[in-house]
Amino acid sequence: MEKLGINWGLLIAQLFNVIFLVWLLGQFLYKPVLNMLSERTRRVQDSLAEADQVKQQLANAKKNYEAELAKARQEAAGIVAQAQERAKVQEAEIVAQARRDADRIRDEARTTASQERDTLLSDAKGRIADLVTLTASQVLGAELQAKGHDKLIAESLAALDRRN
Amino acid sequence: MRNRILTVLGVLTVLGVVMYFLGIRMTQDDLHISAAAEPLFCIGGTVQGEFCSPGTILPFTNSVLMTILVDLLLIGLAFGIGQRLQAVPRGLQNITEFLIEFFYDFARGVDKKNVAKFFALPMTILFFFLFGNMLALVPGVGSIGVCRAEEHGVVTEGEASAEGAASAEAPAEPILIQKFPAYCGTGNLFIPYLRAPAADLNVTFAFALVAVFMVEFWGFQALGIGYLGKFFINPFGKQGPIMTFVGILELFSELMRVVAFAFRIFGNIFGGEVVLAVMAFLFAYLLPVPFYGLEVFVAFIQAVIFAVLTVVFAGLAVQAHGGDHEDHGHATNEAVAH
Repeated sequence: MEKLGINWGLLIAQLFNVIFLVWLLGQFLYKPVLNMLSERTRRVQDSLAEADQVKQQLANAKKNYEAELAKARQEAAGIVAQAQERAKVQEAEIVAQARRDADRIRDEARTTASQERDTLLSDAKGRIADLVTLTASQVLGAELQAKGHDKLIAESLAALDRRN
Repeated sequence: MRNRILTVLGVLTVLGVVMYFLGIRMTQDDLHISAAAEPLFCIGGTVQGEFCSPGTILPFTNSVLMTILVDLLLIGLAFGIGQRLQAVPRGLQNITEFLIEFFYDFARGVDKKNVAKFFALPMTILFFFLFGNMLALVPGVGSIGVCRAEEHGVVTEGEASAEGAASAEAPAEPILIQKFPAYCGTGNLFIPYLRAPAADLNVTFAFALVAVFMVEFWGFQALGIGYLGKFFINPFGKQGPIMTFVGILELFSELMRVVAFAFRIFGNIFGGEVVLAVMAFLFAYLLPVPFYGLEVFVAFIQAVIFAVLTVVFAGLAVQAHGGDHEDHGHATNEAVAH
């Protein structure tokens, strides 16, 4: 024992040293380090999961956005088509209206013209009648004075021509 | 690069041979090998050569000094790193975490359920012996010390160094080279200040006792009194009388683990020191270098073996009886023990 250096006092001291070391290191080194390691593992897992989630959300958002965009485009196309339709209808209406107006104006013009002509004609007829009466009276007067009536008729007719 | 290395080696060899024949070499008197740790001073007694006088309360040996150094290092690690952990690790924290996580994963592989209970003891064994063995290989440990008269009487103290590997370039007058390096003188002993903790049986036995005691304790804790059923098997039961004998052998091997643990690491580390000393004695230049590399490896592997075996034994102890596991465990034991 002496040659091997085993000394009971030292052995017991070393035993206490071992127990002390195991307790101290277990308490102040391994436990915090292992906690830290598991904590880090948890955090890495969490952030990876979070990243996945964010990616998913982003993809969803993009899909939504595209769908929305397509819908908007469709709507816009619909609105334009509707507007075109309406414009066409309106155009037709306007044209029809214009045509109707033109017709009306033409009719009115025609009516006015015919009325005027009638008025003129009746006027002219009155005048002619007057002239005829006048002429006739003059002719009759000249006849009474002999031979002057040919000349009078010609004059009356010329006058009539001038008036027309 | 290769040429340069070869050139340096050649020059050193030539230089070494020249120095050797000039007489700058270790003599038989410098080759002091003691299996026991030498006391630096004796509490309650006086130093008598290699030993303390009878009636000493506690010898303060050089391995105790080294143990305290390693303890301080580990305590520093616990409070410097363990209490100041950062979420983003750097430097020393990385290494500490690596060691702990590496061994924790191994221990979890052995016994997932009880790893939290087991872990502190084998990890401490690994840390203590890893640091202790590595520090013991630092040049100066085991080669810086005092000279002391061989038996009782006048104690001559003075700086001295032995082991040419560590002090090959120590200054010495060419005239006195006969007794290089810094020879203590015939009849005097060289006592190094520091000694590897694993090269002291008190340290290794303390660890072995704690380890085996805790293994048995965990066995009883897990299986209750049924733990004894692993060793005392009814010869008239279904397992038969052969298993009874095997059980007794198991019990014996369980107790012998203390000795096996203690002497395995002691033998390896102390043997390594002896090898280095003898190599330095034979030819102090270059010859110890490959053995130094070997000792670095041994220092690492012995610490790992002690810790791994503790985990494996603990894992076996908490398992309900199963012959297969026992056999497997012992196969592992035999394989790793070498």
